[in-house]
Amino acid sequence: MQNQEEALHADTALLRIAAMLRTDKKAAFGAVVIAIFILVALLANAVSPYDPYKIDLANRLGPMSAKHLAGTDSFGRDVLSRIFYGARISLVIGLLPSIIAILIGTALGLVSGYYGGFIDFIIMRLADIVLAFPSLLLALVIMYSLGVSLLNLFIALAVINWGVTARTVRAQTLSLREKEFVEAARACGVSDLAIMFRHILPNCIPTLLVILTLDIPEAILSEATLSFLGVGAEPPTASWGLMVSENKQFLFSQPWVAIAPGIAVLLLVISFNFLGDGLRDALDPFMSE
Amino acid sequence: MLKYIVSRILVMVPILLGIVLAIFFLLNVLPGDPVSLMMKDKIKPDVIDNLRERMRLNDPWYVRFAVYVANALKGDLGYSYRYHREVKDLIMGAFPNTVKLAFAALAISWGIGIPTGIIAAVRKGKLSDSVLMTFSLAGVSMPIFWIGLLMQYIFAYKLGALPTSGFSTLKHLILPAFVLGWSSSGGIARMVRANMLEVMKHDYIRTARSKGLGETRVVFGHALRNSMLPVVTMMASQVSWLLSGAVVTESIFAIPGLGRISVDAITNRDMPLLQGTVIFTTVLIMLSNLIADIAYGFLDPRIRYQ
Amino acid sequence: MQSVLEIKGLTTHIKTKAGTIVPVNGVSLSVLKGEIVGIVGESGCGKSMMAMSVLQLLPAAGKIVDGQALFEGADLLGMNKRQMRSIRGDKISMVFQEPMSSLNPTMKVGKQVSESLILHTKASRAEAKERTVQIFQEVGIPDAQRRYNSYPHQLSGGLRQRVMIGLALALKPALMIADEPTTALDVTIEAQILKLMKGMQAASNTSIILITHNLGIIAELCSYVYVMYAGQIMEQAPVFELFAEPKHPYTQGLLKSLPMLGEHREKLHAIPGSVPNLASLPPGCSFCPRCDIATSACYTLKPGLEKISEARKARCLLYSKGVAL
Repeated sequence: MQNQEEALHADTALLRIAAMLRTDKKAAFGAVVIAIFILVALLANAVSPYDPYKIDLANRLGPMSAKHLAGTDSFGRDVLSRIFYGARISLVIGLLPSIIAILIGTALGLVSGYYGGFIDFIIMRLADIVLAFPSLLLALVIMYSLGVSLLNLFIALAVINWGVTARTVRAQTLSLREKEFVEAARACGVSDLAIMFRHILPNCIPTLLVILTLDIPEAILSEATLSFLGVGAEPPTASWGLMVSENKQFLFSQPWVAIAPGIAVLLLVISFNFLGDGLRDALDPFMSE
Repeated sequence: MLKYIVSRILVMVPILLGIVLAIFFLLNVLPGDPVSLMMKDKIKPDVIDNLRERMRLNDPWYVRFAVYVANALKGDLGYSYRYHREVKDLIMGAFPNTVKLAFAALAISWGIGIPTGIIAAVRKGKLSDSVLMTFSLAGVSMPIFWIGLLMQYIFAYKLGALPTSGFSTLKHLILPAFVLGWSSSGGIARMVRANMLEVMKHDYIRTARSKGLGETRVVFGHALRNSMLPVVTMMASQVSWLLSGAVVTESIFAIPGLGRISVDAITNRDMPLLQGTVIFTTVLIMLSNLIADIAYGFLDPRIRYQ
Repeated sequence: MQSVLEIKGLTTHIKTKAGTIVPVNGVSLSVLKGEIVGIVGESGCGKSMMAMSVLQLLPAAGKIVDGQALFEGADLLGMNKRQMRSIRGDKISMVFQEPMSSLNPTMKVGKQVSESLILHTKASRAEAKERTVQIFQEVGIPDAQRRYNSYPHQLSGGLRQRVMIGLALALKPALMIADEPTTALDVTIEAQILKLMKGMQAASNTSIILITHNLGIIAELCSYVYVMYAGQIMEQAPVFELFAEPKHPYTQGLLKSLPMLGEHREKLHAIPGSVPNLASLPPGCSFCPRCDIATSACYTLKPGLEKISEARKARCLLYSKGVAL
């Protein structure tokens, strides 16, 4: 019976999001830009004018031209094609580790809030530790430990960012645990696991959505930064951070090649932030519950 | 108040220990044996054994951890493979540079962020609010390395007004501090605005207006102090942010600070140096957390008079 | 006798997500010099919004669209911000419901009062402080000198409300608007605060508009009452007449829900239904969905506020001439 109530919540949440996208221009802008980036990433091999890895030393650091709309980099590779392919890495790194981190955080938060006691104490102290650690430094340490590769960067970002989710889900679980529908389910003999996942979790989804839209831009910036520092994606991968770093020594002679990938980062990240702000406003009443 | 401070410190200690353990585990236990990693198979077995003995690698990891913590408490953070110097000395050499950068950046970020947030809140819904907040969000959304390069190009190369890199004069500090400070001012502005709007909804703001106070007095006399309380707690996370950002900023502007050392340590696989800088930085952040908590206590009479 | 405040046809709109609502709809009332006037109604009926409109302290979404509020002859609603500020606190002051949240938590209570004195009388800090301590004594705050330096959370609810009343009366205003001043307090403290208000009023000849949902308080303090429902005045009468013979079905319902001493009732009456949603009012009389005696005419015709005797008015078709019920 309370599933109905929850379905209603999800419905109204969707309605609110739809209404928000119609009235909030910034959020709508963000959604459109993100959609374009996703399309470009999916269709990168179709929309890219050149092979992003094709080296053409005769055309090093070429200017913007009809042939190369965004010029060529220090290896003569087409910058626009590399930016298109770079969208794949940024989106995958933005989305997947954030989702994994949220899943980890949700599971830990549910267990922590539902069972309480010693296990709660341990999980929350772990969360304190992860949260007290500046994430960039933790990522550096993990990358040192596991070795530099995109996959390890992926793991590092997933392992680092669960703290906020765990704390938030725990707080919501604590309050939901006392609600009548949970008591009723428990009285009916529903198992703990089923209560957590079928009765408590659906109520946390609006909050999780907001956390996700805030985590994604963080992760995209982290990937770009770590790749720029040389502890993320490895050459010749088309990663925006790495592209800036590869071409920064030509900043004064051919600034565009180092600057362009950064514009892509800015555009994608600010779009996620716009959308996240809009979502937060739209779903606020659900979260304060 | 004293009780409050002591309880804050007591909460900190186990977290700090947990962090040191996590770093130690990641850097010492997980990657395997640093001696065989360093030496490959070029060296005679007895030399390796000797070295292993000297580095206590034959002991179980928890013994090594205890030894490390005990030494660290005495100020001994180990010996850098790469620079052949005490890690402590390297850190102490780099620390002042990072402090200078961080404080200058903090001043810039507050100087930009707080007024921006206040103005946006007071003009909520107006065009100036929208413009200021879009700028703030853009600041949050730009990668620091990118702003850094952009500023180098504009101010150092095109205008020739400021040096590109190095850290010898005050002039060298301007660009990096501005880059780091600007990028963190967006978060401050958003926070101040949100708090201010929240506080302006409170009943006591209505009371203040009902006394006949002008809007300026209402904002500065009543709203500001209350909306600055959470900003003070944010100062701690900001220090964390600035020290992370310093890693990138110092790399771009070639500033010999803590961040630069830790990146160097990774590229040179200099484990003791990396471990030392990361732990040192974390301690700094936890200390600033503590200071923020205490400052919060002083600003909020509800805590001060506990 | 001369009236201090004369409100004529005040109408206020508030924009909400559900559309524009009209919490104050053509309200007229007058307050005589030295009189305590009560405004009674359930929560959400627009009483507070009316009070906020008078001092132009509406939330940002609120807007006064029509009416006048003549204070000592001048229309408050036509005043600019600067003129309005010179009235607030000095000529007209307010006491709010929640003394805890209505006082700034990070400012000493004494300073919150002296701030107002400095603003309006150009007193020096020392003079303002001295005067504040004196006011604290007048409103019955023990150990006033020390309490000056207290923060709100260090005071009890009753003391906080005494601070609020001291603040409201500090400048001997012509009018004080008290919005549910005792709702947040427990009963014994409530009695003390009411007694204090009555005493202060008698001493200073300040007029009071007392906004409450509690008819008992009205009976105790007021001389004239307005009954408000869904943004409109439903009935107005001198207090004894209202209690002796309520004319409007809503007032009758309110009175029936009061426990009376020396009268045996099986159970207390409750008005059926709930507080109306201002965003979707019926086309006819706004009270008709909850009215025991409503007829089909009530659902279509809007009743006017009809004069039924020299000092009384009621808004009900019962008293509208020429309407067959």
